[in-house]
Amino acid sequence: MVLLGESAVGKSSLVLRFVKGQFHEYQESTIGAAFLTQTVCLEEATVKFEIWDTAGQERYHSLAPMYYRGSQAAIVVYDITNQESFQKAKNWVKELQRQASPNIVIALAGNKADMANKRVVEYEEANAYAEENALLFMETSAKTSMNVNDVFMAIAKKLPVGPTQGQDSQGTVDMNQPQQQSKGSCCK
Amino acid sequence: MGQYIDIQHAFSISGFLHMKYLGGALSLWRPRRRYYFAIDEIAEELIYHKSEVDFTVHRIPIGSFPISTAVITLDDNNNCAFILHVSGRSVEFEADNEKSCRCWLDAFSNRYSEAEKQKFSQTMLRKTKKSSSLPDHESSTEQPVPPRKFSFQVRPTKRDLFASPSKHPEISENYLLDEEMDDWVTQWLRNEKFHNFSTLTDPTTPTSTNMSKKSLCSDSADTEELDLLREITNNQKKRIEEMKHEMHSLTMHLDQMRRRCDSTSGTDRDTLSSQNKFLNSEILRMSAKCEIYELQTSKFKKENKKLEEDLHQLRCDYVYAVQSTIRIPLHDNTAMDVMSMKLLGGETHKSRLVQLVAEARVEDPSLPTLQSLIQGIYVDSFGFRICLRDESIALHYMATKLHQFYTNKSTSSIEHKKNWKTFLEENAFIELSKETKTMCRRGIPNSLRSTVWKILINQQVEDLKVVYGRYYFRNLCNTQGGEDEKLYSDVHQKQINLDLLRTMPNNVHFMTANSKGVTQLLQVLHAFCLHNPQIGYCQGMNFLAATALLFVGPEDAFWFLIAVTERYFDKTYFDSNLTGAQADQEVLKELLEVQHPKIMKHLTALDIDVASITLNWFIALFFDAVPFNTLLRIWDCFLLEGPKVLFRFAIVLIGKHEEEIISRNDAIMRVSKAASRLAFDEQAIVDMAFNILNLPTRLELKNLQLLYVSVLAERLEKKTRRANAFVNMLANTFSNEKLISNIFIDEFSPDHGFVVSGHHLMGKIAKIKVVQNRGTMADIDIEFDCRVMSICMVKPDMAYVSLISGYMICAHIGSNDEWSVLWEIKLPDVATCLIHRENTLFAGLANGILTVFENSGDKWPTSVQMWHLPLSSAPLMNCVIHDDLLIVATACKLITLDAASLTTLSTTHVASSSTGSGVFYFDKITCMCESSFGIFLTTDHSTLIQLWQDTTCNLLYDISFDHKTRKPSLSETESSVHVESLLFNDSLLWIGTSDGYVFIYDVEPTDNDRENEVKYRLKKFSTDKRGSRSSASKSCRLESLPEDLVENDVPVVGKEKRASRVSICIDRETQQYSAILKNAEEEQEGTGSSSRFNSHSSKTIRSPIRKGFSADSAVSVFSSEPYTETKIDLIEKSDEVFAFNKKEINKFPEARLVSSTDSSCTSMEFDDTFELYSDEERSRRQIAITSPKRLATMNLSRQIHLKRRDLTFDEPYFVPVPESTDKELASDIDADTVVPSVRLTLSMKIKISDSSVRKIISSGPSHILTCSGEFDADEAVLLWRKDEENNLWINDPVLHISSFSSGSSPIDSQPSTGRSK
Repeated sequence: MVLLGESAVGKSSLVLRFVKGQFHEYQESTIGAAFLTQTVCLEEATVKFEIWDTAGQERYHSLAPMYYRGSQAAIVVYDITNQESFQKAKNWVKELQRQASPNIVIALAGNKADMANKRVVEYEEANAYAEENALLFMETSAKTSMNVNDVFMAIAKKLPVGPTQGQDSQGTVDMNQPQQQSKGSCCK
Repeated sequence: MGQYIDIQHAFSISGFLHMKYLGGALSLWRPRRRYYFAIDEIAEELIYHKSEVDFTVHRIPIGSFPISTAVITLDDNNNCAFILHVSGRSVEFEADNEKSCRCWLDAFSNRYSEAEKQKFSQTMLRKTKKSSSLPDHESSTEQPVPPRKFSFQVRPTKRDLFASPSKHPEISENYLLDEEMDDWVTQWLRNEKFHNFSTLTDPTTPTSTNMSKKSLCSDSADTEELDLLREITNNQKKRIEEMKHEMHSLTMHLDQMRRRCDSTSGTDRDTLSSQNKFLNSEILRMSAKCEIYELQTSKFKKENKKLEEDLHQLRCDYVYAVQSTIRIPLHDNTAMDVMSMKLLGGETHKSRLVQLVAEARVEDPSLPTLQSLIQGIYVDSFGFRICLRDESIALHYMATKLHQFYTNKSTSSIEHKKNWKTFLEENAFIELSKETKTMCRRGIPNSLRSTVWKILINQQVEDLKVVYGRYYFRNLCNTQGGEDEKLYSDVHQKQINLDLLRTMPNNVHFMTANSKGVTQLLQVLHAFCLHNPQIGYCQGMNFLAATALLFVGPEDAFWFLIAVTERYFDKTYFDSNLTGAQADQEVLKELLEVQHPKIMKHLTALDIDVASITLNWFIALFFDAVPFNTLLRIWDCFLLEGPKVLFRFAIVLIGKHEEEIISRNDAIMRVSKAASRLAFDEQAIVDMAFNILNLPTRLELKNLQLLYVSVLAERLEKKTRRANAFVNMLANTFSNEKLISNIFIDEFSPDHGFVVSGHHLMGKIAKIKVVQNRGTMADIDIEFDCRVMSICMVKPDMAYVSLISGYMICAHIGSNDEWSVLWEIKLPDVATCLIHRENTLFAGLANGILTVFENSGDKWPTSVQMWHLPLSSAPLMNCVIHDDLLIVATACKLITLDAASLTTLSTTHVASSSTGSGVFYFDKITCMCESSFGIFLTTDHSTLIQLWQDTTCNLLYDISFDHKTRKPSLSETESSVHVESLLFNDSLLWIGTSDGYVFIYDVEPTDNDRENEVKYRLKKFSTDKRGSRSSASKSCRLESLPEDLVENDVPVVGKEKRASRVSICIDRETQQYSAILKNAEEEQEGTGSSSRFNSHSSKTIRSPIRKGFSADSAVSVFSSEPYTETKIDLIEKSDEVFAFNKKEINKFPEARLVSSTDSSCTSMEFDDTFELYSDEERSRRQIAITSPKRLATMNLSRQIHLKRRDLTFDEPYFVPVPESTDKELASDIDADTVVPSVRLTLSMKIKISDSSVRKIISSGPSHILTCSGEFDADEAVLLWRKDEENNLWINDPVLHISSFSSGSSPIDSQPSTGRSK
């Protein structure tokens, strides 16, 4: 899966919280993309997240397809204290709908929910947008770890159960496994 | 005494020292105490504890010294001691040994390295120009001052009394030359203290007064000194006199003794000589023995030394072995995701390592202890705070550190360091030669790194420095205002500010906003943005600058950034698309193909792009990719040799773990990431990197890179353009520029089609050719002054084109696609659809008239027979020819005509859909397609697919369920999605939506599987409710239209071709319409003469259009049946239309009412039975309007079933409906259900555009064309073909070959597919 969103909205922090349970007030800025993995067990299947945490700066935008190509899920992150980041998130959603694989599960995460006193993006607004575009939506906080696991779990549940590959990985969904049927991406 | 745990402390060095306060009268008697000291890098304090234990458990220290302002000096007598001067006090510290002392001093001096650097640049500058305007740092006291100078400072108290003698010229010279002398004099003076006093107080000394008198005139101070000295001399003279006396007496005494001795010597001489002999022999024997022992000792010493060396080597190898045990974990381990370490042998290694560290810490207290690592209070020599919670990883870190420590002690590294030193002394520049390469590849010693880097950076940008001037950096730092500054604050400032504290947050120099490093980083990045506004700030530069700042000053870091962007790389490297960096990845891939073909093959098979791993390495020069020490080694080489080394290291880092990568099919990314993280073994990696063979030369690499840059730049630019266009579209600056409106297929050669595009002022046609699964389109050299509505080919070389202006154009197509207009004709209204059958052209007009051209294949209009056949009052939106039937869609009716006789066979009112708002729309049929199952159609603003066969509704299927499969919420929001285009082809139903999705459904006859089916109920309004409108269809008409005229010329639709020859024009400017009535003769005359129908002979009726009614509704005056009602009826009826649900009316905005009348007069068609389709379970309703006379034949007792087992979501989809409405409706209607005859199964769903999918059309047997968006945009027109292997539909963009660049071959675009569930 892939995390997208504007710079400094907390993409890396979300992943770090999910994968390692840590939080740093100042998370080192990401260059290109960072890669992390985490395995979670649902009731019926084990989901292995292979997460691309992408760089937020506009300059790295042209690299994003390299990472969301073949991703089965995406979290588009914005900062609830930053209207611009929400706008950017909308653009990301559009781009994903257009260029990512057609069955991609997209979640919208309004991060920094702990800073609700500085909120500028209303929950209702984002929620309405998410519904319009059929996105999973949650407000999260990597700092307090609110909803962090939930958003990943919600995605895991939405994922189609992949074909069992081999004997050892029963019901494993490999997030990064390219779709065998289709080479290359869609709508290029 | 509480616990002293606070993360605000981190210690770079800790160990035992003896401490003693100096100064004050009691300084000599003060005791020397041994404490455990540590430097706190964050609080900038030197703290001390009673014991090491106290320190490790974080007790509150006994005391502390602030060291930010402290001055360190050395004690010249004691090599193990140094003196700290802080806040007016001086404290002497003595370390256990000299090395340890040096470490302490290094730790202190690390803190001042910045000041030194400043000074270095100062002196550099001075060399070049004496009149430097830089501030003078010479007086800085932070420098460790020379010892002598210091001792001068420290001891003034002792000399207060003797200030004068010590300043005697002679003595002070000696003092400066010879320190011992100084000490002697001091000592001596101290002893002489009281003598001096006594002599000083003696006024009678004649010499002193004399002498003083002599020198009084010259200098009073000197005189005093001279006096003093003279007194001393006098004293000495006196003493000498005394001593002479004494000596004399002693000599006398000695003589006496000698005499006495001579008298007694004779008797014992023999015995003494024999004794002497014996003793001599004994001495010889002993000395021989001694020699033997000495030999033995030296032998043992040698052996001992050898053993010691062996031991050292073993230790070194041992820690190296421990260091090398680090591995990529076999399984996911969330705590440490990239490395794991397992030391067999239990605690042995742990205790051994701890012991080794403890031993080494005696010499180098800056080494970490296990506790300090685990507690995260250790700061390494670069300022990084190391925190390793995992014990084995901490042990590994200790082993790494120990290895460095031992290596640095080895003779070869000492030699290496010496070489560097002599090299630096001899050379001001480091030229790129074999020697320097070898030296850099062996690594620059830590202590010399800042010097060497500074030289390397500066020599890269030497020429630039000449151009920009010496004070360029300072100038940029202090620039205020200006355009560049504005650009900076607009574009880059925000990002830089965001990143400042996100750069090396674990380094003490970059920890807080006030940290020196952070301020300098800001300075450097800001200056760089001003220097190069085109590149500006790119994430990654922060790490480059910060790493440089750890070793060199801000100015050099700034030049380093310039060197990277302009010398090592070029300006494309960090441009808006990172073109250069991406190009390098392509180059790297090529190199890897050669070096590690297996890996590349494996990665390609798994569809993993190497660039996704390696791009960071190039952009941030391996920052955060490899351990920091390895990074430094890479930089050492990079700074001298340039970017080629990056390729070398990248190849090594990937190639090193070849086996691991090849053996895995998943988690490749994790392995490759770990591969670089584990690169602790810096020397081995450097060696491997420079032993790669078959690498292209630097120049070849450069050229290759440039080649890729040019290719990439083009593509990326195109992409950016597209993205920009995309963003613009999002920003609602939606332009109608050449929006594609439709595609038509040449029915004579299905491989050819036409794309029409344009807007209300311009229309263009482009021709599509499909050859072997590839589509191309080329502009046709014809342009219209308005939008093109429809194209129909009647002969292979003849086409009819209808325009929105109401004209119909007949064009001849030449062999080379040259179009020439044969003739044109103005129709009563716009022909919205054209369809051709057996030399007859049917044109459905927007005013509800079907115009029939007979002999349409004839070249000249003389023979063309044109008939107007009024069918409806609403526009004829679509028409289909099915066998011998012509099916015309108008409003919500399907009118079936016999194509030959034009007899109306049936009229079917189709269901209308409701939108989420609960407002009912009685909307026109927007698209339809015929199929073997019947007619598929949808109405405006609807997502409901309907299948009608004859007058039977066989299917209602709402695609919004499929469209929103991911919808997690239950609440319904108004959605603007609706079906925009439909195509039935080869048992597949293609649906295009307004938001750019294409759905492909498998259509198959239903097998009556009714379980779990969603039921739609067809509900029917009772007829008596509509008594007032039971008299069939109504329409308004213009009162000014003479009734007889209507009677004569606008007959009721008959069985024969009783069509009127009427055309109607609307003058939109004057708001008048004109009805032109003709007879057949006139018509032929007209077409023959002027090709237009506005001849003067016709009667023209003009009438102003009433306010509130659009031209469209006025046009619809000619309905199928004539009526004599007035316009007011229309308004009344409109009310009635909505009167059945008052609730809705209240919500209904005025604009909506107008638009509803606007939209093809649907309300006027609202004369038939109301049918309400409702899904009971979902409270969802639809309204169907069915013609009453056809109701009888319609089997209402059937149910419509929706089978949607493909849907993956669990939550049902609800449409909230107000209860009151429910009740009201329920009382009005009878319910019935419909059974679907076919089942739709979603086989594919794909978003192809952001704008609506305007048209889906089949081209030939196996190709489908879709269009959406703007004409010239990429992927606007897509050609779909079925991939036989995996049964998927693949789309390729139809490439537009513009007439200007027709020579260029089309770029091979990647085929893309959708994926079926």
